[in-house]
Amino acid sequence: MTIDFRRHRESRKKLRAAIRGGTLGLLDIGTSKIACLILKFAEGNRKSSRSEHLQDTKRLAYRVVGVATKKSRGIKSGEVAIADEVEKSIRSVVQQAQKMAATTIDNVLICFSGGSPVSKNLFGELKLETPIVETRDIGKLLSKYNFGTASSKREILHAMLVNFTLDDKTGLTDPCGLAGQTLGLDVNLMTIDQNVLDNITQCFNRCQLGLAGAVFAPYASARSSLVEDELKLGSACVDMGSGSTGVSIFLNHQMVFGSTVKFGGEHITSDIMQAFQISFEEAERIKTLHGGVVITNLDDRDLIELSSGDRAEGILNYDRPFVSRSELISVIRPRLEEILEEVDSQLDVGGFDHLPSKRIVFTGGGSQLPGFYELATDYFGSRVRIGRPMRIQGLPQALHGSQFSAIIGLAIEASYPQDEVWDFDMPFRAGATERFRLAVNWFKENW
Amino acid sequence: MSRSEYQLYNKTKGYPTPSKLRYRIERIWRRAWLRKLILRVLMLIFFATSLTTGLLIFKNEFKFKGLKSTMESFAFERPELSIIDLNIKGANPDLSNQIKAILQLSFPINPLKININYLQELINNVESVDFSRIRITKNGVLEVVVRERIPVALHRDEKQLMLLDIDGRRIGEVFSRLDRQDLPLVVGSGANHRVKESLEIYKLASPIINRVRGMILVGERRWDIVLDENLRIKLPEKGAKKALNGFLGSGRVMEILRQDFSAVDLRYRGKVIVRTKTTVIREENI
Repeated sequence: MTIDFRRHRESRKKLRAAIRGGTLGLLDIGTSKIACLILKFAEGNRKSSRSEHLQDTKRLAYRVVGVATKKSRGIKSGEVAIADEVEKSIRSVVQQAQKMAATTIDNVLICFSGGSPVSKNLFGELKLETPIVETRDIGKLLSKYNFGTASSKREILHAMLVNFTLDDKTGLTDPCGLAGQTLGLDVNLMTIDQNVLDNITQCFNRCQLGLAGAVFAPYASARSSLVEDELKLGSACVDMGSGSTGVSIFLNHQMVFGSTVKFGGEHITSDIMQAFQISFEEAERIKTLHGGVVITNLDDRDLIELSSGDRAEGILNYDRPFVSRSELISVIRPRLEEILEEVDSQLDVGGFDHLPSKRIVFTGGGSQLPGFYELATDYFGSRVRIGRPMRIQGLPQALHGSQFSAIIGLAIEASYPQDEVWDFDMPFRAGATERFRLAVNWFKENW
Repeated sequence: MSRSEYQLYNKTKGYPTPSKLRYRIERIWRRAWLRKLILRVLMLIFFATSLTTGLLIFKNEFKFKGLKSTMESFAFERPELSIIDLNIKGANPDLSNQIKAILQLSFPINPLKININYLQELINNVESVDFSRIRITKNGVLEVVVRERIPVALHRDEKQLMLLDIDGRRIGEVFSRLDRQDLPLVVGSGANHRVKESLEIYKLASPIINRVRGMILVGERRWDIVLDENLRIKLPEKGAKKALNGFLGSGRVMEILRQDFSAVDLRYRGKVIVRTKTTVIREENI
């Protein structure tokens, strides 16, 4: 089974067209919130994006002109659950951002963490015909990979060129122009469940928006939260989302592993809801305002007043008007510990222990819980840091919180996209029957 | 409240979202070029409909007045463009009244409606006008500069008493000789063509001017100076001035004129022939 990456290439085309056109929309489809940014690219940079390969483009100058965040609807653990509701929330958030930017967007770059992503490393080698490595050698090498069997029944989200080896040298990022005999390449293939991306694409098409690319959310938040040294020397970024917690491991500026844990802030809220028999909104409110991780003596006497729930019209008639803070923490903490345990096991899967610098950066809304840092250091030692996304131009101060690290990472990805497999032209290898079948297909499609 | 209950609650109690139609319309509206196009087309339609309805409503008025005149009145009948007054320079009050009567202008008037050449012709046709110049001044005054003809002599026809200028053209009628006693009187057909000559003779006759009553052109050839008491000085056809000068220069002029002659004939060179009244009577009697 051959994969021609047609969809990915079309997405790349749309991304290039959007940058040339000047405006690009970014959407973070989270379980609890949906965020939209509109980027305006500077005039001078549009020309440079005309070159065919995205890797040729320099970092593009851009500015955020439109911002909107809304509660997301119809999304369950990062996947589309009710298509109609998702479409509505996309519509409202895009409209609001367009209103602020006073422009329209045609193409959007999105990130999401659903679809139970699995990261897989592929390795291939090629005997070089010429003494010097050229760009087309990379394409030739990539055509030897069997992406199809590696992703059977699944869909490819990312296929990043992680590491080049040339003879016995390793750790090369760009082998072009170097002399050698054998070229080797590690590809990190990230696959998600089939139809997850189809569902999202459908929702966007119904909003008249084209998909200029889909990005794995933990990857995006790592690009905005990790600093240069961390990217270089190897570190993990843990994005504490609401529906799921994403883990991505970076080494040498490349994501070598990515995964998600299907627990998040929403589960903590749901625990609180069940423990105190209160509404979800109320649980979310006391979690964000009064929640914590470490119990102190004072917390026993710190009583949190529950709002009377007059909105709920009698359904929510609380037995008790107060909850002590220590009770609240004792509900939150076990779930957080569980999440961290899962994260730890995922890091083990990703081979985190073999990295030179074992730093873990926590970001996302869940990492803002007071005392979370203490809990994380208990678990992972002193290599832990709470990350905040880097600043980008034009973004309001309110949106620089760590819960927006994924969408800020998307802006960085849009301006400076990482090479993926489909950015290279792979020479077509096929037998006679295969060629004939393709020819017939071509006729069928065009007549 | 269970989780499924919450989801139902969440679904029904979501924030308001723009409808599909509204979302699409807004996206179209945000495209600047499309918005401009739509606005322009709408504006065009609006103006076209308002113009046609206006034409339909006021159709009768346009028919009555004519569209052209309506437009003209709209464009030209403006106080800043119109002529508000007439100023006649260089004419006596009589003449200016006459010019005003001839021009027949009622102010204010639109300058495009008057033909200045025609007006000038009208003014020049007035007998006592030598020439005229017409212009419109900045502050909307039609200025007519006229040079009057100056009357220098009176000419008596069979019936009329006409004023003549130096070129012999008739300026106007005088009803009585007494009206213009300052002007010399010439009589006889063709006398009006020889005004200049008669004036020269008059000038020569200045020593006896208080006796001169007028001059008669006889047979359109030669002049007779008529003095009081029906005394005539007959001048020759050629060299009349010289003859008169010679006669007046001689010391016996007063003596001759004092006598009761009926004519002094200067037609023969070097001679003054006088005719007595009795002789005349006698001759007439013959």
